Amino acid sequence: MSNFRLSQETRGAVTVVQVAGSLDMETYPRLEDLLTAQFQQPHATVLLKCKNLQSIGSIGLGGLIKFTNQSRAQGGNLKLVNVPERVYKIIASLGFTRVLQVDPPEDEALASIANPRNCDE
Amino acid sequence: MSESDKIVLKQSADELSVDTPGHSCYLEQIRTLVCAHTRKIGFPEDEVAKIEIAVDEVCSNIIQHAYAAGAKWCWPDRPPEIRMNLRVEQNQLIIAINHHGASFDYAACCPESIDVRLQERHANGYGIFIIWKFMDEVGYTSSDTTGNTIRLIKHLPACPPPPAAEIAARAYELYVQRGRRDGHAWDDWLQAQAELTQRSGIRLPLTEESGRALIEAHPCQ
Repeated sequence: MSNFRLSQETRGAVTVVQVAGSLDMETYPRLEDLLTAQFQQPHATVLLKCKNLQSIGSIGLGGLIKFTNQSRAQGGNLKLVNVPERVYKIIASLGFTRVLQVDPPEDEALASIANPRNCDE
Repeated sequence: MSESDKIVLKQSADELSVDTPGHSCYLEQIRTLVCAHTRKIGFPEDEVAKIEIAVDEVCSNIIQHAYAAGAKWCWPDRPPEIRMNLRVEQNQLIIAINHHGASFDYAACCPESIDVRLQERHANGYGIFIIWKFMDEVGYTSSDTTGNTIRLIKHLPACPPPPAAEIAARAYELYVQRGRRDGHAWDDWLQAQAELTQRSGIRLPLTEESGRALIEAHPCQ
C-alpha cells in the first residue's frame, strides 16, 4: 500500500541510502532499522539521497536528529542530499537545517550564493 | 476486504469527508486526499505541503497516543477510527479531525518555539509545534457524546480580508453614487466588501467532476 522505498549501496567508506516516498510513523521504523545497523559500526558515514522523498514529519525529523547525534558521537557522519524543494522548504522553515546536515536544492543554493544574506532561510 | 475498502470517502464540490481506521498504514491515503483537496481549493504547493504535514502530525498523534493501549478512550468498545472533514467556510479551510481515543487538548498546548529543543538536539517533541506553526488556528473540543475533535484552520490563499480603509473608500463611492442619501451605510459596506473580496481572486471550489480529474492528474508526489 505504501510507496515508501529504501535501497542501499556501499561506495568506499560511505553507505549511500536512497529514500523514496513519505517518511512517517508507518515507514520511519524501516529507516530506523537500517540506520541502527549502520551506526553500530564506529565512524560510519551515511549519505541519504532524497530525490524522491515526498514528505517528512516530526517522527522522521526527530529520528534523523537522533542518528546525527549518534554519528557525531562516534566520529561518523549523516548527510541528506537531493532533497526536493517542497520538502526542503518544510525542513528549513522549521529550523531543522540548523541541526541536520541537509544540502539545499540547486535553486536554493544558487539563491544563497547570489544573495548571501538570505542563505539561512 | 482490502485496506482501501476500509476508507469511507464522501466528496462534494466544497467538502470532503474521510473516515479511516485509526492505524498508521492509512496515513499515506489521508495525506494524498488532503493534498488533492487543498490543491483543488487553490492553495499554492508550499501551503499544500504545510497542511499535509500538520494533518499528518495530528493523525499520527491520535494513532500513537490517543489510541495507545492502556489509554482511556472515550468509547472503548469501538475500534480505533479517524474521521476527518475538510470544508471551506468564510474564506477559511476548516479541517475537523475526530477520534474517540484518549483526549488531549492541542489548543491548550502551544509551544512558542522549538529552538531550545533543537539546540539540545532532542529526537522528539516537535509534532504539536509543527501543527501550530503551519496552521493559522488550532481548536479542540471533547465530550463523551461526540468524542474528541481537533479543528485546524487555514486562511484561503489570495483572499485576505480587504483592508478596512479600501472597503470604507468604496462604500463612500457607493454612497455618493446613490446621491448621498443616508440610511444605507451598512448595505454600502457589505457591497463594497463583496466587490473587493471578489476582485481579490477567491477561487471557489471546483465541481466534483473537475476535482476528480485534478486528483488523478496531480497525485500527492
